[in-house]
Amino acid sequence: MSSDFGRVCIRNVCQWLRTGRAVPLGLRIGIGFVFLYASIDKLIHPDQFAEVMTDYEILPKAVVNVAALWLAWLEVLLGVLLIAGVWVRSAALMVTALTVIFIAGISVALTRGIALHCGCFSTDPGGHARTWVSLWQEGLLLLACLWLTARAFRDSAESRSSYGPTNPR
Amino acid sequence: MIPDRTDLLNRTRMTVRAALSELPRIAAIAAAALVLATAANAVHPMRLPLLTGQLQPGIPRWVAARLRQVDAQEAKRLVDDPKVLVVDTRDARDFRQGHLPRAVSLPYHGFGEQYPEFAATVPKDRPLLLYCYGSDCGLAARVGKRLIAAGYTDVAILRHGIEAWKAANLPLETPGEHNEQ
Repeated sequence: MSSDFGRVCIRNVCQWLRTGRAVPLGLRIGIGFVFLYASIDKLIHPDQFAEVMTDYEILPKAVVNVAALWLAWLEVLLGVLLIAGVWVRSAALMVTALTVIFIAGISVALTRGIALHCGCFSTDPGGHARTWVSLWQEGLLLLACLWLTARAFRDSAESRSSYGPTNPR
Repeated sequence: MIPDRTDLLNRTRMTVRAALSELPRIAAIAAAALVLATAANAVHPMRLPLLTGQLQPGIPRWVAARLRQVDAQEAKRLVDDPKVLVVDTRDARDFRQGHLPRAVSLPYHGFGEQYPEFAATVPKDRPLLLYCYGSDCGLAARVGKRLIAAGYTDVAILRHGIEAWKAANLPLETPGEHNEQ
C-alpha cells in the first residue's frame, strides 16, 4: 500500500518535471509562503506595523490603522490562496500589485531621505534602515510575481483555447 | 518569429480583458481581508481604533487614556521631583547633543536592545516622564505604549516634546552633567 503511494508520488513528480510544471508550482507555493511569513509579525503586532506604516509618510494618518490591519490579513489570504492553488490568477495579480506598491513606497521614502525600517517581515523598529541597495529583495520578488502572473494567465488562456466551447477538441 | 502589430494588439486586448475579468475575485479577496482584519482587531489586546481621529496611529485607545499629557511647566515640576525618571525617546545622537535635566536615554529605535537593562533597574511603579522631538513626534507615545504594556503604571508625556521645553526657556543638560537615575 505504502509502496504504491510512493510509486504514485514519484511518478507524479517525474511527470511535473517532464511537463515543466514543477517550477511554476514551486514558485507559486514559494511566493505564497513568503507572503504568509511576512504577515505573521504584522498579525501579532498590528499596532507596531501601524507605526511602521506611519513612518512611510504616504497614507493620511487617519487611515493608517485600518490600512495596517487590512494589509496583514490580505497577505495571509493571498499566501493561502497561492499555496492552495485557488484563484491563482487573481492572487498572482494582487501579489504583483502589492510588491509594486511596496517598492514604490520604499523608493518614495528613500527619495525623501526618510531613514526607515522596512516592516516587511518584522515590525521591530530596531532593524537595519533600508537603502537603495536593499531593494534587490523586492526586485527579485517582483520578477517572480510577474512571471507567476504571466504563467497563470497563459495557462488559463491555453486551457480555454484547448477545451473552450469555441474550439472544442 | 516576430508577431505583427495586429497580433500584438489582439494579445494585449485579451490580456487586459482577462485581467479585468479577475476584478470581482480581487474585490472579494480585498473585502474578505477587511472583514477578517476587523474581526481579529476586535479581540486583539492592542485593539486599534479603525480611524485614528485625534489619536496617533498604532496607539490603542486604552493606552492613550493612560498616557498623561503634561505641558512644559508641569514637566518642569516633574523634572525637579527626584522620584520621577525622565526618559528621552529620541535617537541617542540627539540625546548626546542635549536633553532635559536628569534624563536617561531610551530611544524608540533601540528599544528592543535597551529595554531589558531599563526594566532591570527601573521599578514598574516609578513615575516616568517621556519626551521626544516636537509636535509631530510620536516616539514618546510609542515608547510609552510599550512601557504601559510591560506594566509601568505612571507614564506622562511632555506635550510638543523638547521644543516646548526650549520654548519655555527651561535649561537643557548634556550627558555626563547628571548620571543619577
